[in-house]
Amino acid sequence: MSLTITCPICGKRSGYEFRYGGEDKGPRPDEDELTPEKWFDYTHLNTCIAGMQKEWWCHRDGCGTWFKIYRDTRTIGEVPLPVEDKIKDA
Amino acid sequence: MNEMRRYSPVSFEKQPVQTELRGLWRVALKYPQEGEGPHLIDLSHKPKWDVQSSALDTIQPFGVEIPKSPGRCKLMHGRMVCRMNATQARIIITGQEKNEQPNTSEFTDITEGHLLLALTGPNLFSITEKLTSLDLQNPEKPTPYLFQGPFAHVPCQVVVVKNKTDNCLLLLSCSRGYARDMVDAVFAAGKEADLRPAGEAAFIL
Amino acid sequence: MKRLSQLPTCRIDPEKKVFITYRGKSYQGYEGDTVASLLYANGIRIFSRSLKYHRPRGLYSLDGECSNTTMAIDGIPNLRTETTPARHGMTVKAQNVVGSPEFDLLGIMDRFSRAMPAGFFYHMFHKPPSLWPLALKRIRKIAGLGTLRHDFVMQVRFDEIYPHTDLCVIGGGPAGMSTALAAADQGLQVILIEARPWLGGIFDYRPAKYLDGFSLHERAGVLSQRVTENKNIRVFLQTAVVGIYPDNQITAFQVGGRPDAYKERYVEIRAKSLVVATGCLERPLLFENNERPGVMQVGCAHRLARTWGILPGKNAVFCTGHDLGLEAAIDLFDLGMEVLCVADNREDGQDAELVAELKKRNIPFYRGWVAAKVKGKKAVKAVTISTVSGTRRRDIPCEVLVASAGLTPATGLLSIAQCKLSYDNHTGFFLPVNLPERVYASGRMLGFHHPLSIEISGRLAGLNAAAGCKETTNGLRKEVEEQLATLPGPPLGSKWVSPPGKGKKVFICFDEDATLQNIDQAFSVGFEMPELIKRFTAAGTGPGQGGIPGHNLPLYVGQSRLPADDPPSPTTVRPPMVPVLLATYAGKNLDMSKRTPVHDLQISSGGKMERVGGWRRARYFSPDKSIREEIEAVRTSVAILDASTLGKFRLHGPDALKALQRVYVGDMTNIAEGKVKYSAMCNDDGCLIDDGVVVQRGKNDYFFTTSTARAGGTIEWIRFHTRYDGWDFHLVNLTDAFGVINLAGPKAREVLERATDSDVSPEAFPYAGYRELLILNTIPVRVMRLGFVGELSFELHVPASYMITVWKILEETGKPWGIRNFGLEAQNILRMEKGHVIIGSESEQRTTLHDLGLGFLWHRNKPEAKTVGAAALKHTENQKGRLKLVGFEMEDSASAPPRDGSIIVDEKIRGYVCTARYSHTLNASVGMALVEDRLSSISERLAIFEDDCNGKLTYARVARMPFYDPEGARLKI
Repeated sequence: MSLTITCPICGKRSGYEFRYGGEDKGPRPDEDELTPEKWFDYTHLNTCIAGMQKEWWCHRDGCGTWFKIYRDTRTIGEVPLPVEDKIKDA
Repeated sequence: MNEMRRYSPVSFEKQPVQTELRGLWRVALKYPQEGEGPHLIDLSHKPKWDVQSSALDTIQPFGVEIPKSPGRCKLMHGRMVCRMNATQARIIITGQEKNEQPNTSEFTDITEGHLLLALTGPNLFSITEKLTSLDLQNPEKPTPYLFQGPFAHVPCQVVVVKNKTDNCLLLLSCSRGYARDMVDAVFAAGKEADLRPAGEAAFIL
Repeated sequence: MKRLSQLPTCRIDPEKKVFITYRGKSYQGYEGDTVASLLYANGIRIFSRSLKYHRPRGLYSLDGECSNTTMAIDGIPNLRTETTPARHGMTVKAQNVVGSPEFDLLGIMDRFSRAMPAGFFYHMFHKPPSLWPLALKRIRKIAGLGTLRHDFVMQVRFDEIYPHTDLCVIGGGPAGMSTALAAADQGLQVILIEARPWLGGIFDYRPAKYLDGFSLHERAGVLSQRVTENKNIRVFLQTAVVGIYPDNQITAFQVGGRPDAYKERYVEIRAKSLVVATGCLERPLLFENNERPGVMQVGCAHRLARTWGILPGKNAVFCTGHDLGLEAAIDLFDLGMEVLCVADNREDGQDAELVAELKKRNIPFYRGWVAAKVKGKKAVKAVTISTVSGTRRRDIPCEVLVASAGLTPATGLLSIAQCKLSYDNHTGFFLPVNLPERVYASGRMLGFHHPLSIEISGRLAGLNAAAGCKETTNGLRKEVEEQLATLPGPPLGSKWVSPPGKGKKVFICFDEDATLQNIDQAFSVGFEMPELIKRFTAAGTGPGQGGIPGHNLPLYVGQSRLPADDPPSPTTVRPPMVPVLLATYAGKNLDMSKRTPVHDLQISSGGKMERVGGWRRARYFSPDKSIREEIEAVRTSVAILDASTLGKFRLHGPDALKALQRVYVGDMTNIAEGKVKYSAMCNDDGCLIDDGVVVQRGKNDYFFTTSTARAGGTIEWIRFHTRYDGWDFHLVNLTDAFGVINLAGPKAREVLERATDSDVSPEAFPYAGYRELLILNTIPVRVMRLGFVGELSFELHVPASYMITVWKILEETGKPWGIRNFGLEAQNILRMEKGHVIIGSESEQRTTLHDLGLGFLWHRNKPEAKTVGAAALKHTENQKGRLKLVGFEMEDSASAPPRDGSIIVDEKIRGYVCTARYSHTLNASVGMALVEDRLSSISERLAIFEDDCNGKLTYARVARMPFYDPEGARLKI
């Protein structure tokens, strides 16, 4: 109940308003290159890092935006986006 | 043959004492014993438009400029224009509705899809804080301001038009299907504050 | 009992009597009483029996810090009577007793305490497992708290509230109030939370002097008035904080007073800053039989008299370790209680003035003496006091023993707020170090005792909090800091823990009946950390949440086991800080559901409504659930279904087609004008998640439908799967904007013809066509010719506000053909006869498009679209060993259809029945099942195992689908 997520549109909100969208794995790979192994890695394999994780969230009950945040998986809490990422994602 | 009518998703327990036929809508203007407020007013008949474009800044719906930053709203000529995100805004025709039909493809008529309620009167936030964890009273948000988030567990769009304790005005909108449960939830939460149904005549921006 | 209601500190209203029922008898009290104070005033001394040993228990702390006084009130068990206001007509029952609290047949358990050492359960029931039923059936019955009747229904209302504020102050005592006032003066919005029904805290009940001739009680009144009148401060009384979470989210619950519309309400606060000013608890004094009814803490005895006008007894012995004990002894003496003696475990350090006052009253005062033992079985008869070294002893007969080792800060909430606590040698307190960001503490919990110090420390915290909220208060802060430095600091605290000469029944935790002996047993098996000992002995894990063992446990462990220089460390406290009713968490318990625009018409037509996802829908239209007439109407004439719950979306923008190509498995290019394109969405595993139709209404402008269940997640899904692409397209959810009428049956065209001027003939509006037309020249509707139920049918998408009108028009124009409603169950059978799947019925999360025989929907030549699921569809296309969808017909035509979900077996489970029904149309029991591919060929025999079939299998044969109208001729009439 305490998790808050900062939506780039609506600001900091209760975590209940959001849907988790998984780790940031990059764009979809080309279909032709997708061997079953590569398909599996992209679809189901996660890094599961103990530390800073860049991940997708959707403000489901709010503005509906998909966006990325950094979260420390050890404390659960959100951590500020590094500046270079802000520029890149903008 | 049946009467050609359009129906609001909301009907209050009390019957209105004064109504007006507007197009095919029968609009309630006044309810018995409306009292001094707070009031709940059904505005579901008011036209609402969704406008989406990657070049939102080049569009002036009904002659109103769309505010730049999400959450900001602009009220002009009886049109409330609310910026929702980078590519989307919503227009609520709060004034006397004319039969305007913007013709470009960016616009979608969403009048039918949404319940629209106005909450007016003093101490509204003592009612809303029972229904939502959104900080509608946040003094850092310049009015009118659009909040998008859960209200009575349902995703809603809430425009805080006035946020003074003795004079509040909110526009609450959600999917039409939730209308009855939403109205019931708001009335239940507003019982202690003596929230009563009121007609459109009590809606003054 | 005569109540001292004339005392200015007294909180009962002698004019307003309250009666409650306890053990069949009516007891009288007054408004303002708690259930506990009312019963105590009526001579009730034993409130409950303890968990394991069934020892009698009574009033101890008066703040509900242990389960001693929990009872069942009006059917709700485990309520803390010390904090529950007495209301007229309440019925109160004792818990965990066989008989009565005074004569509990299980009281004998106390004699077997030796048979139940610490870790008893772990040792005894480790092996063999056959012993478990004994533990479950017998011991659980003996050991326990209240029970809830399974048919109990909460009759009262609950509420919830989510306020935001700049500063939240927990604790409405002098420190908390000073904090709130200081911050409010700086312009902050403040929420002040107090657990008791009034503000005042440690000042509230004390007549001791403050300044300028005012008493502390009067000072509490002044502060409380200032707080109440301050517009920036919002006070929550009778509100217990339950938890504190990151970002200063505070959860609490408030008990409703008489005028409130709720019994309890859940309070969830978001604050920028937080100040904890929860003051101190009394650290229980440990000695033999330290929890006999009649033993109570200083505050308990003092507040019984001062707040509720009840003298705890005729006479009392005081064993204390803090000046508050001396003060209480003097005050109670003056109120008329005989004080036999005062023993203080401190050798010195007492306030000389208080000592002089004791002397003036001829009350014997023993420095360096403590209680060693209480005598008496069900009540205190006498107390043995001894020197701290145990060398000298004296027995004193008495009725009440007021006992407390000293003070200890109420750090529970700080611990919950992730604050580090460190032992302080001067005060003997665990003091906060490393407070989290924008969390502050003030008042007595920092060790302050002098009234002014308490207030000024509160003020300072208020200013610090204001600074945390970016108000500039620097000058003032410095001033207040300096002022605090000139005032008396924290006094030396009592370190007394272990009793002289150890007994067998020295209880460190009342809730769990854990004794010092149990702690020693934990040592002996090798546990030395308080956290582990807590778990091994269960000390501090009861409903009181460590209120009683609290700091005694780590201090005892420290003194017994740690090297001299090692400071003790407290155990961690976790939410809930106090017991909370689950009903309170549920709050208003709103059940929000969606209704279609013709909801009321469905009901007035006899529709039996059901929750389907978020919606309410009609399943049957006949009281006996027979759907035969509904089905016959569709197959032979015409009927209408309310399908408004279907998802409906507009998709527009330059990249709209790209988005469609990404999520739909079909080829979405070139959707012909006036045609619908049926397609499906898969997930990345190639499993079917949605199906629906797409219409192109203009350039880059599409209208598409989804299944009811997917409507809510569709926009999110499409945005997710295009999140890296930066495409320019826009989605509008029109699900609620259109009602949908499925007008189906061979006479459907005739009905529609009479409602519109448009040409709906088979030539003008063929199967799979899409038209936009006007109903009665007025109402614009979007119409699709589809055939889910296997007959000629029109799906009318009607603007929601017109839906009632259009529905009534069709009922009118359909009269000549006996038009009627059909519901979800009829639709379910109709579509099954046609072999059409419903996602979730005929598919589960492993079911691919291929498994359902829908592989033809997949367009394999669009790799550039990177279609979701395409790679998996390729990989699974010819995969062996998968469950495949088949139709089946029961071998015995008279046999009833198996229940949905029944399994298909040989020596193993080979699949399951998805949907099976008796078909009136076919006069046979047919169904669809997912079975292993080797069983999927036509005429294969399937053995079906149903729940409670007693091993008697039924048999079916795989049959060709669709069962009904395989050529599809009826769709095209």
